Amino acid sequence: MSELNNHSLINITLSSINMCLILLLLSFFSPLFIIILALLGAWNIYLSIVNNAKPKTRKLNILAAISLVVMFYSVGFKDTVNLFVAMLIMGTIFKLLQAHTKKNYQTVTTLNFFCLSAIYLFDQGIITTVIVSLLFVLNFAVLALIDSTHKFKKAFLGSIKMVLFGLPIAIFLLLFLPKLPAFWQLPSPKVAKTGLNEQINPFDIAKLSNSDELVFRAKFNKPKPSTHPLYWRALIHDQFVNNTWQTSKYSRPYQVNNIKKRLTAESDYSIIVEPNANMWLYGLNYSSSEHKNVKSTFEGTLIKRKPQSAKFQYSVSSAALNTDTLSKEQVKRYLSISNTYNSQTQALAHKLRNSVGSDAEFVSALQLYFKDQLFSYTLTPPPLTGENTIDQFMFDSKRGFCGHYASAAAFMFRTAGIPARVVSGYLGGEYNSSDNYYSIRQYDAHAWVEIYLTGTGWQIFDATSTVAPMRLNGSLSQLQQISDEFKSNLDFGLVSLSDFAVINYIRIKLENLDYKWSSWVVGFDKQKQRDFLKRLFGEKNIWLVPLFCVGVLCVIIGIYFVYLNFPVKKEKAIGIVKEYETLVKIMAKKNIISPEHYSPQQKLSYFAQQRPGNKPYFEQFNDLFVQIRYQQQAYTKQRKNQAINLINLIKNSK
Amino acid sequence: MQKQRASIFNNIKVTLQNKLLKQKHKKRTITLSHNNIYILPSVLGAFFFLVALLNFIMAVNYQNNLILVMAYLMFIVLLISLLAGYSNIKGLTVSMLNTIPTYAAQSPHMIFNLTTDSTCQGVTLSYAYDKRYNSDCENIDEKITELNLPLPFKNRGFYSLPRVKIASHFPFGLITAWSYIDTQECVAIYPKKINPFNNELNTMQASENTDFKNQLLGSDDFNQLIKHSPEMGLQRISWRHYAKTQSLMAKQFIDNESIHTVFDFNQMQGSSEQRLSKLCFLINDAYESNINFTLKLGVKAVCVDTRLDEKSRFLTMLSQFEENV
Repeated sequence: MSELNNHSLINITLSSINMCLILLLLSFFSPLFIIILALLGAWNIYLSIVNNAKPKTRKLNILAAISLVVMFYSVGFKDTVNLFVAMLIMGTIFKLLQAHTKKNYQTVTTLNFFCLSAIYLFDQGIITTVIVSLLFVLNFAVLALIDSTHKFKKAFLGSIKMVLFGLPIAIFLLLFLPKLPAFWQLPSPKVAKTGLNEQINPFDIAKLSNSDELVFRAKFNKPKPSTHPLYWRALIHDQFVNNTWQTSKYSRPYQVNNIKKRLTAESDYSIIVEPNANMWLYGLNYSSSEHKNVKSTFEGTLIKRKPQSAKFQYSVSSAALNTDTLSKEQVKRYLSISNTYNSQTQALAHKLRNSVGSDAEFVSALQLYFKDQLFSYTLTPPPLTGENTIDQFMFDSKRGFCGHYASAAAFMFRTAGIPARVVSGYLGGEYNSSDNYYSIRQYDAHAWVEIYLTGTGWQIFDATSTVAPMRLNGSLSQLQQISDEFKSNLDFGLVSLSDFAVINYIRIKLENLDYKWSSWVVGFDKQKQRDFLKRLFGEKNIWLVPLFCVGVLCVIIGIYFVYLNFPVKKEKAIGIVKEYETLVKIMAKKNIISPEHYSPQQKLSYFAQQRPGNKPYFEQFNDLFVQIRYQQQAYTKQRKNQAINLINLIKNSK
Repeated sequence: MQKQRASIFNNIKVTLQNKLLKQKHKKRTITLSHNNIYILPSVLGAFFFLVALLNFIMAVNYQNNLILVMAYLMFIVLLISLLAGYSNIKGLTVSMLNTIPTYAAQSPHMIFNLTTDSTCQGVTLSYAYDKRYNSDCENIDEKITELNLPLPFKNRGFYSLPRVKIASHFPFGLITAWSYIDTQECVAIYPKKINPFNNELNTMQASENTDFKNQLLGSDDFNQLIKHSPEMGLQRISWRHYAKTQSLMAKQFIDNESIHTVFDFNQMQGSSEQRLSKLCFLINDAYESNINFTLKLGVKAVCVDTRLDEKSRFLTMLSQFEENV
């Protein structure tokens, strides 16, 4: 087809695809940029609906220049992937606004295939996959519409057919074609922000409870590990400056060397991390991982070797915290308090330390102090300002969340001469018994203290265990004590509606489905593929896989080719022949049988002679027969009805 | 410079195609099958392949399974399109019915009949070397579909019919499945019709009067106005003339059947093309008026009896005429 048909329909469909793309990227770009894209898309749809001409090139160029400035301003230059995707989508929308020829529309449609794929850099969830797949089919339908005069339904059904045929083969290739290593390193888009921060100020962490966003899932190889609280370590804050616990240069992820240490693993598990741009990862106690993109640090935390924002899975072995003796330098670092404020707390620490005989007893004394002084756990603590915030917390408000307790306790330990550090990560998680995994969400973020006791090494001190012991097991969402507070703090979502049994059931089912999706589809990496192929072909026959792939592909393509070219069975009777044969049978029933060698016209004329009363009907039927069989006229529905009516008249006449 | 380059490229293409394409396309009717169908990704298909490749690279670099599935799916759709495109066009029968010659400045046409056993979608016939000259059909089935293909010739002449490309981009426009039909026939573009000046015609007629012209009064064609007399009747009065001059004049007609005239190229005025154009007008006029004539083209002289309907043959002679011959 040299000319473009369905101009308006094509334009509206492509604009709708662009609008859906904008919706999918809603949370990854600034509102200003999203509004500009949406306005451009809506303008294009409007132009099609009112059948107005496309804007002139000069007008579009000015608009494009303005949009580009807004894009650079709102997206910035730091995140090159975000910038690339933003430019791609904006470029596609502008190209569509300018498109008026068949070639223009084909370019836009092909670019859309790239834009759709780019969405998966940001989100690989099931819902996103379903939407992107639909848009993918829709895009193929537009390609078909551009090259034909088909109706939308026909083009869409044709596309579904094509994609449904191709999808199993694509999945087969994904499973069996050996996965290639990355050709070169690419920057990752900066996506979902984890609630943790390298700096801990007690007022920050309460914000986490607002979000039910999934951070990671932990799948245990053995049944549920134990009833011990699960402290998922992420960051170590070893420097206390201006009432803030910070990560010193010794603990910053990018400065830590990979430590390979033999561990007597207490537990083995794998973690599927949701997309995020941070370098730190999660593990229990002293963790190490053999994954090629995971570094194990001296402190027993895990970090990414190179930035990877996409969802990925790594296996972890965890053992007890380090018992190695601290060097003088380390002791100095873990005892440093570089300010002279919070004198009351310092005095309290000294007093408590002097009242007990050992560091271990100080730990118990501090726990007892929190209990006796009726400290309580809350997600909405009173604001504490000034330079003596720890004093205010310890002696006035006595209400706070994990950050307050960890901050104050670590300060007191250091004052009392016990090496201490604040660790942030997540506590607990929602356990799914059917698949033996934990879901850890943003609201499970937690901060606690690790103290070094001579002889026993590092151990966890968590004041929350005293003030809210139930918080230690399970998730924050399951903590009855602050249930109402938690739910009122939470953004609207399925978790906030979990009081309703039906919604909670659906939430858990969706959660399970998402876990399986993450584990089997998104997390199907090279290692999993190797294991899968080994199970299927055996270690020795693994070399057969590429041959098997090629073979199966050839067979499928061959079968399809045969199917396409299989001779179509012709209809037995063409046109009016079927009706003519019916008429002959009817006449035979009436005992009027024409000579065998007669042509159809002679037979009809014979019947007319035999049944003079029906002569006009036979003549009309004969006319129809001649028109269709000999004059090549179309056998329309109208003619067919006429033939049937004549047969009925002849049949019913006496 | 660019035009020259394009022309060189075109020449190379034509030479190559002439060498590569075998006799199988030199037919008036061709049924497309495995030995005369060519199939490749179209320009859009190549662009689509490039995007699929970019998706694949992105998927590998980001180790992203979903993008990888999309990339594989795009490759497979392209592959399936090649098969579907072949299957679509296979079995299509294209027959050249005839050609429609025209007068200079208009394009002649080729008329084709298309039919197939099953269904064939989106077929385009185009002049092989200039795709602007094309004609397409959305759906072809058992019934005969007629397509009219304009040709890129405008000047007087007698042209060999070009190779015609039969192409389809079904499905999605990602591939081009094509073949050729080379009918090895010719089409004429007659000279443009130019009404010769009256005096030129009169001179010519006068010069030939002694031999052929025998003009009689009759009723076929208007000749001149003469003074009206009562016995002529009212039906012959020129009322237009009366309205202008208030004087009664009667129309006099010529009986053409008895006229036999000579149209001589050398007697015409103007350039060769102008002379041919005038002759073309005269021949057409002669056929319309049923006048027998003799056509003299250089040394050739052909006596024409207009009752034998060979108008196109004489017009073709004009289109083929070369002065030095």
